Amino acid sequence: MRSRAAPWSLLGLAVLLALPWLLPQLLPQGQAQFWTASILGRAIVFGIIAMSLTFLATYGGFVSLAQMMIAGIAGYTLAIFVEGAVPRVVGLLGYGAAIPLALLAATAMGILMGAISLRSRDIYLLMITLALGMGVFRFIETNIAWFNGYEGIRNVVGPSLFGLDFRNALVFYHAALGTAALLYFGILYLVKTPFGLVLQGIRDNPRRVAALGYAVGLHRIAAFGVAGFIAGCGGVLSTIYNIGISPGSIGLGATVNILIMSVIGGLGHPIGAFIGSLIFTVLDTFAATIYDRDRFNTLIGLAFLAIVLVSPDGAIGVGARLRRLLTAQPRPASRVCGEVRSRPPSTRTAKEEPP
Amino acid sequence: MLEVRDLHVRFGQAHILQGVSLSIGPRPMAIVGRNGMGKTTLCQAIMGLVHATEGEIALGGERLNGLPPFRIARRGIALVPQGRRTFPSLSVEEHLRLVALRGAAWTVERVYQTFPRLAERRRNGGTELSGGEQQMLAIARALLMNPKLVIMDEPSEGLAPVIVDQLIDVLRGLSNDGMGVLLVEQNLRVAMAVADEVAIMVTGRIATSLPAKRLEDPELQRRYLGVAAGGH
Repeated sequence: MRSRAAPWSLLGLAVLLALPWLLPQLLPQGQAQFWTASILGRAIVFGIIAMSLTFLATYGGFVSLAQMMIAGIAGYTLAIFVEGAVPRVVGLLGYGAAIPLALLAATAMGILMGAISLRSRDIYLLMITLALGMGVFRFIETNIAWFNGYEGIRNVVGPSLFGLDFRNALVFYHAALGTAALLYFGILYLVKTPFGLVLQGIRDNPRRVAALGYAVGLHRIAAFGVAGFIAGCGGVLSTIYNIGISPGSIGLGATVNILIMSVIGGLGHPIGAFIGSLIFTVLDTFAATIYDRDRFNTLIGLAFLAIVLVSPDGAIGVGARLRRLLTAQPRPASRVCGEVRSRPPSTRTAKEEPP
Repeated sequence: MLEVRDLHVRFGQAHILQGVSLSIGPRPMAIVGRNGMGKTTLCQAIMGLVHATEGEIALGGERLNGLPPFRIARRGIALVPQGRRTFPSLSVEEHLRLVALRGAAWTVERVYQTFPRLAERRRNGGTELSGGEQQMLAIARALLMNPKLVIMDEPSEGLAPVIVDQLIDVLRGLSNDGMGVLLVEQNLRVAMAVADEVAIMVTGRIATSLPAKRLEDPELQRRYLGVAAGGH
């Protein structure tokens, strides 16, 4: 499964690259553009943020609800420092300097979250990261001087790269896709390095990793830093996509949406984040048109319920299930992605050495 | 090599280790004892995994008390824990790469030469192996840390007799190479075959320490362990 993941991902990437040219052949011009910009582009951006959670949960066993807030930190840093944003807070830097600064801020925030939540796990980790996320959200919402409070900061139009304007839907789509691909393959590489192996060891049995000579706490904080950087990339892109940022985009609703994307996609492999965000975006966009306008959230909720009931390891688990069914192979003990990975952390840690 | 002096460990009201003193030199040593005597707790206390309330642990004259487990591991003690504790989500190869050091005496290649079975199973997950293979993997993982002293907590538990014989050969080989070996066992046969000196643990203390040969005396076995070798 693992070794076969990379070729499949490359195939998916090729399809996504070709879609902006394929879609106009199949659909009317207006619809094709709508799909590229509002569905696929948006799904990729939120997929990146969801992937930062999937990375932590899949390889470290840490479910963090602070990732949307960290993405927001990147977005706000960009909006505060970049030239042309309205209202002007600092507004001194070009995009070339403001974007790296935003990513740095998100990475630092990720490291801080990792350090604060160092000693908590399972449901307590979830609660502490949620509390930190909500705390930052309330702070931003009520602070006028830096964050312009409830209104947020607008007119973050994005850079022009080599004469290609980010306001062009195709340019944005390809920039987002390129970023997502780099981060995705970066994660697949990272988890094969000793750092990634230590991280997976920590998920299985932190005491054992410590007894093998690794500082568990430092690795954990570094993983949160990596996840912070990933979330920051998503935050920068979503701010440019929305031409600005407001507190609502990092509130409880947005935080829960990221969790839903990760779970329905599957917490077994980073690709799950993108599958989940695509399903979410499609449902979120079309539910109102195919069901009663006042009740479309019911339809979205039922769809998610169905996915989680049919396949507890999310959409990527469906593929593995179908393959097993078709080839009538016996269940492999642990290697199929999402099998061991998606077990709740408590069942794993229960096997630790008794004192 | 390793000095343990008057070590006490308490879990709440329970006084598990009640003043253990041990001295491990270059020759292999075994600790035997019945269930619940504190053998595993002693291993974990040396490794820093449980907190010792009193007493001293020193490796080569350097105090280890209060150090976190990863620092103790880096000082040169490796623990092969009871029940193997291999990682379910890492393959055999990944287990080894996790700990391998460049340019050290034990490398991944040397592990594969020593345990050819692991080379055949290198792509398998840590819990897809048989008990014997898992034990080999747990030992290999410890060896790749290139420790001065390797502590094995009940390595023969649940293994077939033929595998146990292989294990004895491996442990003797390590000791001949100059690695310190502390073997904690319930299986008296393994303890006597590997170690020159056997310490007997009774209710949190080392009751006595004797040359392995003297434990062949069934009377002594009955007195300290309540069992006779080969008699079960």
